[in-house]
Formats: sequence, C-alpha cells, structure tokens
Amino acid sequence: MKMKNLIIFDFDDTIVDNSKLDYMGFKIPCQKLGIKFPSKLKLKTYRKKGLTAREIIKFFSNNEKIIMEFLILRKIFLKKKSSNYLTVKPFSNLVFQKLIKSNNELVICTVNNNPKMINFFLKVNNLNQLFKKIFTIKDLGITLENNNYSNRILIKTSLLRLILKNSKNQNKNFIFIGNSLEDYFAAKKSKIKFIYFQNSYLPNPKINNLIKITKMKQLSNLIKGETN
Amino acid sequence: MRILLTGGTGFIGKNLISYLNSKHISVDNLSREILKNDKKLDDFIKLKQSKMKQNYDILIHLAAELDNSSKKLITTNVSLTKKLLKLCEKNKINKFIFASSHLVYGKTDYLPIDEEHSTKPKMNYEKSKLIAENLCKSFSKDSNLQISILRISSVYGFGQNEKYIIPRMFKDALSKEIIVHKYSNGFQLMDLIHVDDVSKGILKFCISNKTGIYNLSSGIGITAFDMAKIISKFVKECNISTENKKDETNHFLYDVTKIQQEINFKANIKPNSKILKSWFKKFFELEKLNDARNLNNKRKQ
Repeated sequence: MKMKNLIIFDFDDTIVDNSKLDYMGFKIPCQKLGIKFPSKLKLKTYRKKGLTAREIIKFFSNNEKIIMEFLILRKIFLKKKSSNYLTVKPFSNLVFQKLIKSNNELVICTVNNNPKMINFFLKVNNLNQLFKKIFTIKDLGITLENNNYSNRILIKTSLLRLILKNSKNQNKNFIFIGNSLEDYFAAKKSKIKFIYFQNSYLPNPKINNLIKITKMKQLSNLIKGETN
Repeated sequence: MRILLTGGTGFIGKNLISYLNSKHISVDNLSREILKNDKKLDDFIKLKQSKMKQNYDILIHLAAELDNSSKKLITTNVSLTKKLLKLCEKNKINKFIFASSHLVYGKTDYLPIDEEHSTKPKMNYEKSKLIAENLCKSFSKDSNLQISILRISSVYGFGQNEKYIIPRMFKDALSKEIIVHKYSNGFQLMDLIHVDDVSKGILKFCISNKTGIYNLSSGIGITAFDMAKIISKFVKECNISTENKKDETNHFLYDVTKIQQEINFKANIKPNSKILKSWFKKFFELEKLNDARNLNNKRKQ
C-alpha cells in the first residue's frame, strides 16, 4: 500500500504573499510618524538582502525614539490588519485539493503567533477545510517575544518535532515546504525532507542539492515524483 | 528504607532531609570531612550499618563542586561519583540516585527538551555532570546496582542564595526597580522547579525501581520578564527596566512526559503570584532583620 504523505507548509511567504502587508506595515506607521518610507521595489531589495524592519527603518530615521515608536506601531498594525493585505499564492487552492485527492494530508507550521488571524484568512479564502491542523508557537505552550533568526529555527524545529510526535506510529512520509534558511535547518534537524519555495521575498540560501520550486503549480508533480 | 546522602548541607539537600524526615524516613548525610577520607568513610558506614543491623538501601548523590573557575572541578566531581558507586557495590547498597543537571544539554535544539536531546555541555560543571552520568551508565551495565540519573532543572524556593534569579529580583524589587536582561533573542525562557517538588520527585525514585535518565522539572515555561512582572506587583511603584545584551541566551523548557508516565511524578508548585508573594514576605522580613543587625553592629563599632 502506498504510504501517506504528511505535507507541512510554512505559512508566511509560502502559502501567502506577504509583500503588500509588509509594504503597508511600513507605509501606515511611517505616515503616522511623518517620516519617509521605502518604495515597494526598494523594500523588496532590502528584504532580499535579509534586512529586518528595524534595519530598514534606520535608512529613513536615525532617531532611536522614532524607531522604537515605528516598531510598536508596525507590530500593532500587523496584528490588527494582517489578513486584509494577505493574498494566497496563485493556484494554491487547486494544488492543495489535488494533493489531498492523491492521498496526502496537509498541515501548517508557522512562527506566526496569531492562529486566529491564520484561521480567519484560511476561511475567507476557502482553504480551512484543506488543512488538518495549524501548528503555531501556542502549541508549544510558550511565548517568546522575539522572533529573531535563532528563535525562528528553534520554534520551527520544535514544531516539526511535535508534528512527528503527534504522527508517531502512523507510517507516513513527512515533507516540509518552506521559504527560508531557517526552514531548511529546522527540517534538517528534524530529519524531514525539505522542499524550498524559491519564489520568495527572502534571500535565497546558497545550499547545494536543494529541491526547489518557484511556483505552487510545480508542487503536485514534484511530490508525486518524490514518493514514487 | 535507609538512605545515605551526599550534599545534605546544600540547598536541595537540606530541604530533602527535612522532607524525608517528615515522612519518617531516616537519612544519614555524608559530610565533606567523611567523604575526603576513605578510612573515615568506611568506618562511618560500618558503624552505622552494624547499629542498624542492616545495609543502607539507597545512596542519593547530590554533592558537587560548583565553582566553574576551579581547575579541579571535573576531577573532583567525577572521582567522587566513582568512589560512591564503588561504595554502593562494596556495601551492598542496591540503589544509586544521581543528581545531574539540565545544563548537560548545552545549546537548545528544540523545545521541550526531552531526554533524547543531544548533550553539548560548555562549562566545566556541566561537563563533570555528563562524565559522571556516563560513569553511572557504564557502572550499571557491569553491576546489579539500580541507577537513576535525574537531570534537575533550575531549582527555586525559600532559602536560596541571592545570586539566583528570583531572590535577585526580590532584592531589586525592594529598591523599586527590577532589572531584566534582554538578549538578542529576547527574554530568557526558563523552566523552574520548586525545591519541595524536587524532594517529592527524589522520594518517588527511592520508591520506584525505574532506572535511567529523567528530566526532573515542572515542564512549564516562564520568561524572565513575566517573572519580573509578577514580582513587581509585590511592591508599590516598582518599575521593570531592561538591560540589553548583545549575545544570545539559551531558552529552556523540559519534556516531562517520561517522568510523569514512568514515575507518576508531576510538579505541583508553580512559580505563580501566591507562591512568590509568600516567599517575598519572608525575604522582606529577613532583609529587615539583616539591616537592623548591620545598623546595630555599626553603632557598636
């Protein structure tokens, strides 16, 4: 009998396109504070270089107090308005349905600590029935107020291990689809097969022998090939 | 049940003795003086066992050199463990409970940390605990001695030294400003266990015949900042200020599934407002007493 796949998706910038939200997350707080903000194109360039919001805003203001106010306003904006500016990556719904039809189970694993927003987003985009579960930091029963690089690896690795633990004795293949170096390391530490979604906002990791996709459409064929 | 103990004058040891005594379990502490001298140690055990007309059942090994700057720390801790393992064999003591440390895990790869997590200790103290653990493991293969290794997380409770986080925050709170370190990866996530729960856990191992490695912790995570928020409420107008650190901290949270399922142990005491407040009141009274003593001494001078 063919073994079932459990396909684990990262959320931000893998299932959803965050570029508009990221841009608005600069525009709205900066307008409130009366400071300049990066254009969409410039912001993409900064993000490709791997710069954080704090590092980017420093190009527009060197006043530490304003930077702090910006970061607080940005955090509030992202928390309240996230789902308004997110869009599903093209063909995702179709690909997810196809994957489920061919004996795969789908879950989400994310460092995003707002499961309410994710649920709402999935519901309005008609995706909520397709994912078996959403794993967030809340499933670990902890709060880490900082999501820096090493914390993201730690959270992702912990969540992947939790998923493995929950699926113990269930004879499954595990595949993790993510868009970052952190995702790659978390998959490696958890000994889970990794597929890198390159159509990303983030810097491209320079890792040899990485299985890559650039469009969601490529996923169903790739997974068929991987498990045959 | 007759128990022999090392480290009975330490923070955990003192609490453990009074807890075991409250359960009418007799404990004999091996002092540093006795441990240093092989003849004294032999004589002590012979005398005690002949008085009891029976052998000791369990040896609980809590004693350890803590000073990381000491060059002899590793050899002292490891050779003491070796000596005690042999002592068990020689005197037909059936069970050996070794107090190891959660710090043997080193850098955290994932949370919650289970007993399968890799061990990469950094400091000499942690290294010495891991070497001693390995010694215990190889000893248990070659003998009938039942060995339980307890990786105890950060312990807290009344009577704890002021260099530890909670008493340090109490002291800060009395001067109306609690300083919390903020690292590049945020406030540290801690998994603390109350000293009374440690005693309860150790007693569970005395009764059980389970051997192997176990995390002895609460399995509940709390950040240093959340802890400061609780403590700041005990004093009027107490502020919390953060001190930024450039380096990263290690986050701790332990998987306690194994100890819960196999030993039926669960930590009952949580570091909540109620527990901390009653400790803070005692701390405050002691501080007042110390201040009065110091003032008196100055006057006398």
